[in-house]
Amino acid sequence: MKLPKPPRLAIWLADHAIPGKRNEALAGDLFEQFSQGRSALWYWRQVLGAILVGYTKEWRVFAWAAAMTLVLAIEIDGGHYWNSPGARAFFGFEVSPHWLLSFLSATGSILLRSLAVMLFSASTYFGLGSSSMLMEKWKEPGLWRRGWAYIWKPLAIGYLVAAIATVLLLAILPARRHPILVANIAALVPVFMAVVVMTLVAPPNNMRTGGLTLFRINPPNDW
Amino acid sequence: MPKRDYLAEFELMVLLAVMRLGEGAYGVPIAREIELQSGREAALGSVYAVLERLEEKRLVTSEFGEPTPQRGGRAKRYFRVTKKGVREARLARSALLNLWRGLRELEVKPT
Repeated sequence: MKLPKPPRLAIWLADHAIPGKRNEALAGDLFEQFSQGRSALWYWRQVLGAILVGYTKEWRVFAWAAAMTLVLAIEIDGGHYWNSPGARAFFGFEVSPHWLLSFLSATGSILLRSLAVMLFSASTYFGLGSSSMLMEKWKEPGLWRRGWAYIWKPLAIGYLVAAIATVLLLAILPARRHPILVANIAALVPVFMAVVVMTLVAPPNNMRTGGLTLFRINPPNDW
Repeated sequence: MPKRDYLAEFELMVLLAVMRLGEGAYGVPIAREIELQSGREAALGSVYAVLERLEEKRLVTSEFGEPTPQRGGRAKRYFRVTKKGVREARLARSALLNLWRGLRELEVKPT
């Protein structure tokens, strides 16, 4: 007998977007309930509720990441913003015939750049989460028990090291005119911070027991 | 004196449901047991969020079963209450009983 299947997008969200430790079980429970006659609407409600609850549970990490990224992104663009004719006119420094257009353009530019950083962070988060889920699907029981499941740990650490090295290299390597490329550090800091935080938050399933516990992993009980 | 993690109402409900179910305690029956005994709807996401918190507090442990086709190839996660969990539940019960004792408003009236 063919079992009824919940909506595809909702399944994907249940597998990938619910933060927490090893949410395969939760996704499985939802699937089981659906196959016992629950409606698609019920399934959607449960998935969206679980995502909301999961993110609320980890609000400290996400709030910190979001605030840090926004503050740094705005700080970088701050000089440009305050010096724009629109902002100067709006805040009483200067009056220009095109102040409204300029003000809107400066504000839009800041928001877009901040959004770009947030989008990058979110993509990284979902990218890392999805890849770890895929790896889990490909796992073989024997390999899993021997510890190949923890391939995620060296990958994540390698990613962090590469990110740190990139920022440091770009900062230290001398340019022709400037001994240190301060602008490069400034431009990379919000992205870097967002990536670091999202990397620490991203690994779902058994790699994670909370927000920032990537480097303290407990093996499964049956090891 | 070491700091104690006090149990919130829903945490206590989930802990007691896991104790009542024994060996077969995983998400679906836990949520069903809470609904049955308290009349309160328990969303699976909320139940799992609480179970993870209880596991972080070392009041429950979990282990995975085998994946089944009825669950789209996903494994069940079985929960079991630890000794610390039983102790915490007992302390919560004792505290609540102490607070309830002598309250005339809560006495059950004969029908």
